[in-house]
Amino acid sequence: MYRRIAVLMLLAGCLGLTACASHKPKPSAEQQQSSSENGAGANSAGASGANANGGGPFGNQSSISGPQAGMLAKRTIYFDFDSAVISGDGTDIVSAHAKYLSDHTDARVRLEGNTDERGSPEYNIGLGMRRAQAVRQALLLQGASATQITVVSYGAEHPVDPAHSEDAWQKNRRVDIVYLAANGQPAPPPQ
Amino acid sequence: MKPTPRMASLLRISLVVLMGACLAPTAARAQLQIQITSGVSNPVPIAIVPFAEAPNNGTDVAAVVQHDLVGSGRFTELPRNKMPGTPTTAADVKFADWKAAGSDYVVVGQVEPVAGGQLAVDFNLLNALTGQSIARQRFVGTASALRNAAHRVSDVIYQAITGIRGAFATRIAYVAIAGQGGAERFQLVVADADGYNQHLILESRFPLMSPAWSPDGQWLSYVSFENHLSAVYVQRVLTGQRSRVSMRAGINGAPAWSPDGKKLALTLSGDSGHPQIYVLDLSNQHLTRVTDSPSINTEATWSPDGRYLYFTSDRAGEPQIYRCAATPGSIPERITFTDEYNAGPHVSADGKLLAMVTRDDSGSYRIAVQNLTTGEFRMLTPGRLDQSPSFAPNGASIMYAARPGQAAAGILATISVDGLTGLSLKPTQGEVRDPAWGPFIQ
Amino acid sequence: MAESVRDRWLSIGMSVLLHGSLIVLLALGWWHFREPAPAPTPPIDATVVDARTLKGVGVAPTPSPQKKAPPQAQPQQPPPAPVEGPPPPTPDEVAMRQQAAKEEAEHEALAQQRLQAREAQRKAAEAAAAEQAEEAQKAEEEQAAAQAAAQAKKLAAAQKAAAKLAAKKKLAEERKLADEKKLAAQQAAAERAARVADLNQSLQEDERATAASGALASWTSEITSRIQNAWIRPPTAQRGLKCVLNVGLVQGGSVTSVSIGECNGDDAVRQSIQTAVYNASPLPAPPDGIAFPSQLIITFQPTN
Repeated sequence: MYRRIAVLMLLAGCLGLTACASHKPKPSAEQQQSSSENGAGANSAGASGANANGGGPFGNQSSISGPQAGMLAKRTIYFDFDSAVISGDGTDIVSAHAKYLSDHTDARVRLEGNTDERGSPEYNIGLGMRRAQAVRQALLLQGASATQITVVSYGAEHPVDPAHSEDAWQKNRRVDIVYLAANGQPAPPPQ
Repeated sequence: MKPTPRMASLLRISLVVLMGACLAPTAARAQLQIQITSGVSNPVPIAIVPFAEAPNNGTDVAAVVQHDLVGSGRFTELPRNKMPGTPTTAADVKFADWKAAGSDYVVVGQVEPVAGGQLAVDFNLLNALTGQSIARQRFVGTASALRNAAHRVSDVIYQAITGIRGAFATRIAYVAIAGQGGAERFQLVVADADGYNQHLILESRFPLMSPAWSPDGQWLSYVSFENHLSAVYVQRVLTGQRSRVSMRAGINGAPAWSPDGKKLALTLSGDSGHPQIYVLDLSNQHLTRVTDSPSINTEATWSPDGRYLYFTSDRAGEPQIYRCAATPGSIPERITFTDEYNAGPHVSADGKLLAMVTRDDSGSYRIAVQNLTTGEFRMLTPGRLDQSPSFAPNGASIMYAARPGQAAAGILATISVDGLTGLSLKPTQGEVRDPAWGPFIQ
Repeated sequence: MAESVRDRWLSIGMSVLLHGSLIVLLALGWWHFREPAPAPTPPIDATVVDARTLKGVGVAPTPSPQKKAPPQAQPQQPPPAPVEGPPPPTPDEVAMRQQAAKEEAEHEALAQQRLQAREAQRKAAEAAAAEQAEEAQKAEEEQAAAQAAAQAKKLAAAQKAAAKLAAKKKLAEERKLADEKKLAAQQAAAERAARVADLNQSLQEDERATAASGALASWTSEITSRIQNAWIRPPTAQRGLKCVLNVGLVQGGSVTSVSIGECNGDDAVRQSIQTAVYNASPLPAPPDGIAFPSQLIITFQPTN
């Protein structure tokens, strides 16, 4: 009888250990939440608000961790003059969205390429497309699939800032990531 | 030997005969021959006397004619307060007075009502020095078409004195943007070449660009983003009937009608993302690919004989203008070598000049022309943010889009081909861009 | 071994404990690992661009001339987060001030540019005028050389004319002498004397003609440059053009008639050359001893 009891206690102990093991993500989820509060800067209110509204304290467990978390809320990648090279923040933003797309295979995005107003309009359409294609390639390389992405170039026709200054031009040289619902209309973006 | 008297007289007679023979070809009267091997290129002084006006919608025909001719840069006007009279027919003109006032030519005319509620515009172009009538014509039309009649008067005068066909009675198409900050309205507008008589052809809340006229002036092709993606449409100007020509994946842009009106050059990128030049046969929708290079190839414009396409390509790193035959597999030849940025080509109707946007060493975007025969390159505008040049159908001037100041909205402007005379067309509100100068109106 | 009641209760208790703890663990696990239902959260509009793409929902443009229906109301959104982008967004006022300053600078720069453009234009015009003057001078020089050659011919003609006069005189004298056979020797002497006198006369004619040719050349070049400066050349007057005008003059230099001879120019060219000649009238006075010819022949033949 005591052997039986011992065996049963051993089994119970093993179960308890596995339960403890799966508790481990909890401390890292908390870590993720605090780092997003620190690192997202202007978006901190939104991010933490989302976490509060969303699915409890372990909200984004299935997505990225670490300092990239706030990047998912950013949906614009900026470029230098006459360049289609993704650099700086852009790289992280692309990675964040690539991971999201690879994890959510029914998510759809439209990449919108833009340029500043200088130069010939149709050539700028080509430059905007070059930027959008660069982002598309980067997304595909990091796990998104081609059917999830459509690409359009607005060239210089869709500026966020119509002024004729270096500041405005910098803000207009960009690719926007727009999430789409199944019917092709814009959808709520991921958190 | 001493000459005998007979021999001496024979000698003298023969001498006289010889002299006579030598003298024969010389004319008896004096004549002066002058060789003129050069002239000057000053503007021609002309006086356009106010026309005898019938009551109309307030159009001052003589003022419209004067604005046209002086704006071309080839004429200089006699101000009304310096005119030695107000004749309205040739018989009333005292030529000596007008010559003394400095005018080489005098234009007189009348506007009078005719049957059917219409107005007739009569004018007479007179040479103040010879007293002769050079051109005389009558145009009949409705009161609302009086400006058009005035432009046709300008065309006749311009051709009589410069030898070049006038392009004052032509139309332009352009894109206007009203509103701002997320509530813009994009409009495709057709107007007279001087900016009057605007007609709204299309309005959209999504960007419109690159209007292009068909050679007969009946159709416009343009790019619209109304489906969140680019697409090329053709639309009949008078009726508004439109059809979509291409909405393929990727870029659909830069439409250009062939000179015979049967084909449309297009820029398509497909899934690869590299824009290439294609030719679409409008009768059978057959698409032919013309360029094939992993770079941006766009902004095709046809040569007047319809055999070549000039286009922008950055296959050499920065955008330059190339030329190739409008058939697949032809090897493009580079045309521009001045500056590091040349784009937006447009060829004049006589095939001699190529207009383009160029970026100079200071980073300023300006309109320039290159002589396609001699290679001579000439800057025309001061810049800083000029784009979209379009030749008038007589090749004498170029219309383009300009942004004249840091905070100023976009305007249209024209510049004469010698770079000396320009006009600007400012909208009363909003901004305008992407001009396309229409063909001669038959 | 027989089971005692105590053993039985013990085993029951242990199994209850075991099963109970199992159930508790299961419940705990389920409660911890359940997936939260995805709550539809409203979007965060961080950039103006997103607002615009949302705006386009459901409304397509119609062709002219109808006005379109007003856009659909946008879905409810929380107030947008500040615009993101590299550099951090500046406050509006500073931006406005900066823009105003930039506008001023731009206006000045534009005025400067215009000034410079006008300067450049003036300089270009001056350079062009200087070029034209040079070309005119070259042309004049060439003309002067041509004129000199022409004048040499005229000299020869003038000489011949004078010689003809002299020959006529000789003839009259010869006839006299032929009748007077007795005075052969005197006639010969008289002939010799006459020949010497003729020679002297032709020499004097020579001198006058030489003096006249220099003045003639400068007078014709004066007329040429006056007409050139008066000829407003239309764009259709290109190299290859050749037009000849016959111009009637009166003493005093006024042009009384212009008629076009051989000419391959269009109507605009023909107008321009007539106008040029009339504008050059009255022509400058000729040098002493030379009268205004009654007719001028002007050939318009541009060299470039």
